[in-house]
Amino acid sequence: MAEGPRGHLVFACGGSLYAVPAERASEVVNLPVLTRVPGAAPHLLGVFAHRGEVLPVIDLARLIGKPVDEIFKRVVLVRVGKGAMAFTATKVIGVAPIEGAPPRLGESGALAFMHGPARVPAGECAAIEPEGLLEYLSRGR
Amino acid sequence: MASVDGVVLCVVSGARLAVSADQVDAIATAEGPVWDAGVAFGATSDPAGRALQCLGRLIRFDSIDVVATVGLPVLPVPAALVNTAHGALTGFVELSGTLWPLVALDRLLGFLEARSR
Repeated sequence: MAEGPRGHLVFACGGSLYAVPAERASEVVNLPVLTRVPGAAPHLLGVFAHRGEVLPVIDLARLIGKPVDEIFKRVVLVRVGKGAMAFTATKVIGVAPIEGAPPRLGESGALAFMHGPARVPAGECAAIEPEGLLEYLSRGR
Repeated sequence: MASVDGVVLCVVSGARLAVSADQVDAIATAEGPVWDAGVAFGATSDPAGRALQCLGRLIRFDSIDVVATVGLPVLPVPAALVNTAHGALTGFVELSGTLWPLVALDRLLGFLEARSR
C-alpha cells in the first residue's frame, strides 16, 4: 500500500526551504543568547538551555555549505528518540503535506539525510530525515 | 541527575568553560610551555592570562575563577555533541542563569594537541 502524504513543518533558512516531519517538530522559539561550544564545527552555532535541557543550534545552510548572510531570529526544535536539536530559521512557513519519498539530495554528509526536491505550496524544499541527521552530527569531526 | 562539587570557571576569547575542581592540580601563572585554550574557539588566549595545571601540563585561559558550590547539577551533553572536541564535553552547568560547558581537561588537552599538529 502506498504511503499517504505526511505533514511537515516547513521553514526558510539561508534562502532555501526545509521541512521536518510535523510529529518531530516540538516547538518554535525565538533564538536565545547562545553558549559557544569548544571545538564546534561552523554549523554548530552554540547551545542554550530550554526547559532543563541543553539544545544544540544547527545552522542548516552552513551544514550543507551554503553561504549565509541572514540573521536568524527563530529556531525550530526537533526531537527524535536519541535527543533533540534546534535548526535556525529565518521564517516559519507552516505545516504542509509531502507526498511519497523524494530521493536523497546527496550520497554522503548531511545531504544524505535530506530528501528532495519536495513540493510544498510555498515552493520546493528539502525534507530532513531528523533521526539520520542527528546520528550524522553525533559522529563529530 | 549527575552533579559536581566545586568547579573552576575559565573564560577565553569571550567563551566560557567549566572544569571539575578535582581535575585541576594547580592554578598557575602561564609561564613556559602552555597549551592555548583559545584554539578550541578558533582564537588565542591572553598571553598574560592564567593557566590550569593538569597531568603536568598547563592550559592557558584569559581568566580563571573558583566556585566552591557543592552538588551543582550537571546537564547532559546533547547527542549531537557527544564527540565534539574529542569527547571533551562532559556536560553543562548553570550558574546564575548562565550556561557553562563542563569539560574533561585530559580530553581537552588531547584535542588541543591534535589541533596544533
